[in-house]
Amino acid sequence: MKDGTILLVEDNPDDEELTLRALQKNNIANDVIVAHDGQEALDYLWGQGAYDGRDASQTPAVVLLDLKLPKVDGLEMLRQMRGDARTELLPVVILTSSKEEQDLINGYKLGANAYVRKPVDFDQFREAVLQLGLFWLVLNEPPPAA
Amino acid sequence: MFQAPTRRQLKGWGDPRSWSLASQLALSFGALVTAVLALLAWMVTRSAEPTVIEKAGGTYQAVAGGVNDLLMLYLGDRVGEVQVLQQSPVIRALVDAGNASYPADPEQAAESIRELDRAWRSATPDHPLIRQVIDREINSAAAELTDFLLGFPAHSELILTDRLGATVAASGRLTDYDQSDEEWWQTAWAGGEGRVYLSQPTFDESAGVIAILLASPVLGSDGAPIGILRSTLAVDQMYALLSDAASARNYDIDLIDSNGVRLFDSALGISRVGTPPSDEFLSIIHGLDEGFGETEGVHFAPTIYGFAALHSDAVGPYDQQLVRAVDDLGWTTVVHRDRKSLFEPVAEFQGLMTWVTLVAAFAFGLAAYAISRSITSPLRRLTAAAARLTTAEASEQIDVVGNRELAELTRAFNHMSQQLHETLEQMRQQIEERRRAEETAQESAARLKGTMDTMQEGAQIIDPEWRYVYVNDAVAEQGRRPTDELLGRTMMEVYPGIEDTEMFRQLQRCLETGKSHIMENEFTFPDGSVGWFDLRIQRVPEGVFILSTEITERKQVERQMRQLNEQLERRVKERTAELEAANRELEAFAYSVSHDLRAPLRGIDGFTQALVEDHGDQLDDQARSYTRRVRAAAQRMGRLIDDLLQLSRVTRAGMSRENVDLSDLAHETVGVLRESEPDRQVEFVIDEQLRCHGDGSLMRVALDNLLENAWKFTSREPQARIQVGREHSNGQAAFYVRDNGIGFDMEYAEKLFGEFQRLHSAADFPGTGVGLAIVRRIIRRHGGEVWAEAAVGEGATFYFTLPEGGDATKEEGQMLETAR
Repeated sequence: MKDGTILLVEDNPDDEELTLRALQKNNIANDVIVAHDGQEALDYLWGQGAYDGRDASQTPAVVLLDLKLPKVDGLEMLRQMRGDARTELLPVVILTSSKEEQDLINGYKLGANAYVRKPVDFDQFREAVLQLGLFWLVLNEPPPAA
Repeated sequence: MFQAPTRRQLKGWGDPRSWSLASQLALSFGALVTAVLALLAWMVTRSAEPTVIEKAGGTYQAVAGGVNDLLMLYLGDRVGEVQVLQQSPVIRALVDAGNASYPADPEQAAESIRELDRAWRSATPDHPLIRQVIDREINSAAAELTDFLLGFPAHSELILTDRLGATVAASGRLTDYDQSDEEWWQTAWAGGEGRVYLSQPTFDESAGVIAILLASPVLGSDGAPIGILRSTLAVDQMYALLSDAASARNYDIDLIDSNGVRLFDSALGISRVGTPPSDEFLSIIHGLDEGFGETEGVHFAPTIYGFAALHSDAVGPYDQQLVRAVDDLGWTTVVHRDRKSLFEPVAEFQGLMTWVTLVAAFAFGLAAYAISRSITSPLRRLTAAAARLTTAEASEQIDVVGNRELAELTRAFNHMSQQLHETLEQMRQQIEERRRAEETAQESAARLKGTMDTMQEGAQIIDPEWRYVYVNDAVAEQGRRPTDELLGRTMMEVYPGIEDTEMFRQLQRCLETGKSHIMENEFTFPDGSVGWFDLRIQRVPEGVFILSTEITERKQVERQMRQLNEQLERRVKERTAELEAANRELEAFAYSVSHDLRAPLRGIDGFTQALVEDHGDQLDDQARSYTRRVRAAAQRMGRLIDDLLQLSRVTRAGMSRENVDLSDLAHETVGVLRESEPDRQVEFVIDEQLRCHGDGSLMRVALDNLLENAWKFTSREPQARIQVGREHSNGQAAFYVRDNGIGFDMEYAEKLFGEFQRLHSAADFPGTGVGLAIVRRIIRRHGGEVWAEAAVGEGATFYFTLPEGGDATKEEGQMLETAR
């Protein structure tokens, strides 16, 4: 596995735990930063707020983004990311319970790189996380640093 | 035998224009000649008349002067005779004797005369005094006087008086003695020496004749008057002179005195004085010495006259005494001749001219008649032939005779006659055809009118002055006016204010432009009620035609319907708004379900798994079995939620119809199914070209569900066979998905499509029971139907139909139904 952090944006502690577990069970040992809402995630990415002073040029390899979030929700956060030069090319995988067509369309429109639905079955979930990890952290060539 | 008078007999002379040409020519020519000659004669006589009158009048004036000369000569002779007598010594002696017998006192002398005169008048002639006087003074001198009378027969009686007027001698018996009170005596005496007196002609009773008294003074030896000698001149002799002069000529001679009294009229004789001339004539001759002219005043008949006053030309041998006496008489001699006799020669000339004129006119007329006869005779034949033309069956032909023009005319007539005959034949045929056509037309017109009169629609014709010229019964009913109140009157009279309506404007436009017009018109009657009419307005030759149908009821119904529709639309809008609100809620709910309900399930499943993985060694078999069941239940609930979401999505999702190839869709699904269970041997038979018109993604969902079912329920069939195709079922073309799986009891066929209905246990055949419900909703949304045929153990066939055009109303209805 390559270096590179994973930014997990997830407000549900159960899902957070299960996602981390799935990563761990798949032996994906990359650093995982967890933000519990969109604003916190943006603060992290841009080195502001609670993350003031963080080197914003150190971008995660991939952002796993839930849509339903307190404060700034997932789609709004995605829109802001894409509107900022530092994060406009950052790979974003939407990881959500929703299978609404509208969410899919809006997600892709706003520049999501992938859309994965969280299955109820943990085995399937773990499989999905494995695939995600393999693809984004290993196979995928990230965009050149801004 | 009675015979009706012919037209000719009845006609008589009639209108000159109807006379024959010959008569007209003859008459006109004769009339022309007559007029010319008559005019000539009239002009001749007319121009001669003034000359004739002037010449004759001048002549008569000269004759009157001549007559006067004659009278003067006559009277002069008589005066001369008397003067000779008075110069006789005997006469002078008698007078002197008388004068000498009076007393010296003039008063006594006058008294003695008066006494004698009284005695003369009152007493008998035997009175001694009178006798004495007669014997002594009068009778003794009578011999001398009588001798004179014998010598001069113009004188009929003589009286001699002395200087006091007493009679000294008389040729006959006297009625009085004193003459001094007589006019003749006083005038003659007052005139002095040489004075002669002539009286106007008076009737002398003693002589019984009309006479003129001639008185002349008797002069003494010293030349002074000593007495008066008076002679009585019978006018007969003088008048005879005038009569002779008049009778020699063809004129009359009248003598008129200064008082306008006609003394003599040669036409009437000498003994009668006759009526006086008119005042007008008298005023003409009054004060003039002579003159002439034309008058009716002499004898009250047109006469030409000339006149001369007696005194005026008294010249020559007559002495002054005579002239003065004649002046006193104031006579005027008028010579005249009545106009008729004077113009007799002219009249004779005129008569001659009349005859000449008539004869000439007749001669010319006759000539003209003869000439025109020669022209009209052929014309008459032509006319007769032409008259026969109107009745003749064959064409009329006449011989060509007469002069060149007539010959040409005749030939032309023959040609025309031929043509006319042919034309007439054609016309007869045409007329006959037209008559038949008209009969037919009249019959059909009568039928049409009958139909028009009684038909339900109102029919009316209005002329360009807005007068009703035709209305049928229906119009009267619609217009609420009897037909006789409409016909002949104008629209404005019947419906005041109609000229301001839209209908009237359309009528006007139709009249002006001829364009037809169809309209629905709301008409307000004078009583305020309102009627609706469907009007068809059309230009016709008589004016404008209106076909009207009363649609008041229909209008009311329409209005009600419109109101109901509006109400309905309002309700639909309200409902739709409610529905939209409900849909939004549903969407929010579904979103929550998909997101929020699944998260805990994932937690349950995930942590249960974590429990087994991390603490499995602490769990016995039973516990591990429980954890499996927890996870299965959680996963099943996740599927249920997914299916529910899909079910609601197929209802809510927008639909866009397109041409969908079901065969392609089926192949794709089959590929997915084969991949999910690669070990299964299933035979798929999919017909090609299964095309339908519908929403692509919904049809995919429906077909997926059916194929998944077939796949699932053939899982125990070693020779599984699944068919997709189209065939006739229940009388209509339907798509089908057929399998040879376990099938089902048709008893439960109705429950099959209900939500969460399952005919098999989840253990045998996993599933949520939502799939067929989804299929039914999709098919129904497309306006189609879905049903199943099956038997237990023998497989099942699911049919569905899809209308070619779709059915929006049914879709909407279905949506409503679903929403409820």
